[in-house]
Amino acid sequence: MDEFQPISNEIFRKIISTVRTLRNVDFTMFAPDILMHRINRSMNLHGIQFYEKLINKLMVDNCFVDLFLSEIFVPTTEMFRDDTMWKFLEEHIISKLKHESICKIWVPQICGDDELYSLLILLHRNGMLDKSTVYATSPIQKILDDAKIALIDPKKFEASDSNFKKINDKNSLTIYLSHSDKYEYILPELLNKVIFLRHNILNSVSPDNAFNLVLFRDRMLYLNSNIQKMVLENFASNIVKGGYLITGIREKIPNDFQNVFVPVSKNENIFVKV
Amino acid sequence: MKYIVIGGSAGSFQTVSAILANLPKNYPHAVFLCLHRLKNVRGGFVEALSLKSNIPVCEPFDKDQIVPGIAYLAPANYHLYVTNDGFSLTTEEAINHSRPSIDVTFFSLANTKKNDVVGILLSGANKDGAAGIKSILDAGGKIIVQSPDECQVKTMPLAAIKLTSIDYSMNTKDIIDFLKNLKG
Repeated sequence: MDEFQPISNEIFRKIISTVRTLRNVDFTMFAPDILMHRINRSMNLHGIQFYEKLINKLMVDNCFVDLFLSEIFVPTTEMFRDDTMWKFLEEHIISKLKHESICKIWVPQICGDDELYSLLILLHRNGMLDKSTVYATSPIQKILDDAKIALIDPKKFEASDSNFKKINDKNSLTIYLSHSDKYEYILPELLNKVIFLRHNILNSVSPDNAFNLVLFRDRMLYLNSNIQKMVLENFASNIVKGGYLITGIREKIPNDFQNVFVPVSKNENIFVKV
Repeated sequence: MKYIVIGGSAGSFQTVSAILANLPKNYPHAVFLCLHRLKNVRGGFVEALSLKSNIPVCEPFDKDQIVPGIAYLAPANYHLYVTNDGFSLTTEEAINHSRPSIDVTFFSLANTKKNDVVGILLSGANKDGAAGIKSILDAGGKIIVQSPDECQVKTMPLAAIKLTSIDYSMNTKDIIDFLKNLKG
């Protein structure tokens, strides 16, 4: 099956409706072309050739639903992607947040999740973990469960380690990993301060408020323009004045929000809420 | 407006540079460049292509609109989709070990712009782009490969020739002439 073939409107609506009924996840949040590719890709991974068969399998196979949903979300590519952003974050943002008595951080729509682990390592390096509460949220339980296990993908490790060494030329990432049965995991103590929460980004209710930092890099890419605005309204309401929002380097903040989120670093797409 | 999409890998930079240097100012078509590049080097590529280019070269942001007369370069470490609503960038899994993948950009243009697409595959060292350029042909677009004899690395055009019938196999000069004479 061609992974990029368009899906007819009728079938597309059926898949969206099925997923909404089964798990209350609204696929209309996604940019349609990307969603079609993700659906086709998942079908190829599972050897499903026809959309009707996909819908039938979703209806009868509870485990497959969770797997399918987790495959629709795009995983992060590697730890410390865009190393200059992480360096800026450490030198200019975390250094300021150190002076706060508590630090609330939200990483919405996790998937992977190299972004979360990279952040935890920076917080640990800077002695910030104890005063931080990190919310990692996703509407998909399987994604949260996988993130809690924190298994390192060996295929990504080389790129992650290389990125990390650009930030910190002394140590390899391996000092933050534990080894068990030939596998490597993020050190459990780094995950202690993380609250993994099933949460839909489309909800007006945020998992908490007065966040000092929201890390939302390369996640807006997959949302359609209307949903992007809803999400940014949510962030605008729940990030404390003077708190930070970080988006992906090729994502744009729509004009309506440019008075709310002012760039601290244009190159790295780091914004302060004013 | 036509949608000209050029894919290439090793050995394609000089050809792309020559094409951009010879397109007329106020070119009526949009040009998309999907070139394999180092994933962690963000800067320098646009600047290098702009040095000789007659039309503006830029890396689009997600959801930017398409404007004729501009050459859009797929940013490092992102796939570039061209949709009916403009650009979509993704960090999806690498395809053919590549992000950006030429196949992704070719497929998306074939799906959305159909027979208004001209797909061009240049020198390169893997098969990325071969399936995508076939999809452009299947959707009614025109497809060109750089003459393998002229390519520094001919794996990429040969993979396309093996997979489908090609409209034109051309050297750089003929590709430039074709694009200069392309009607909207």
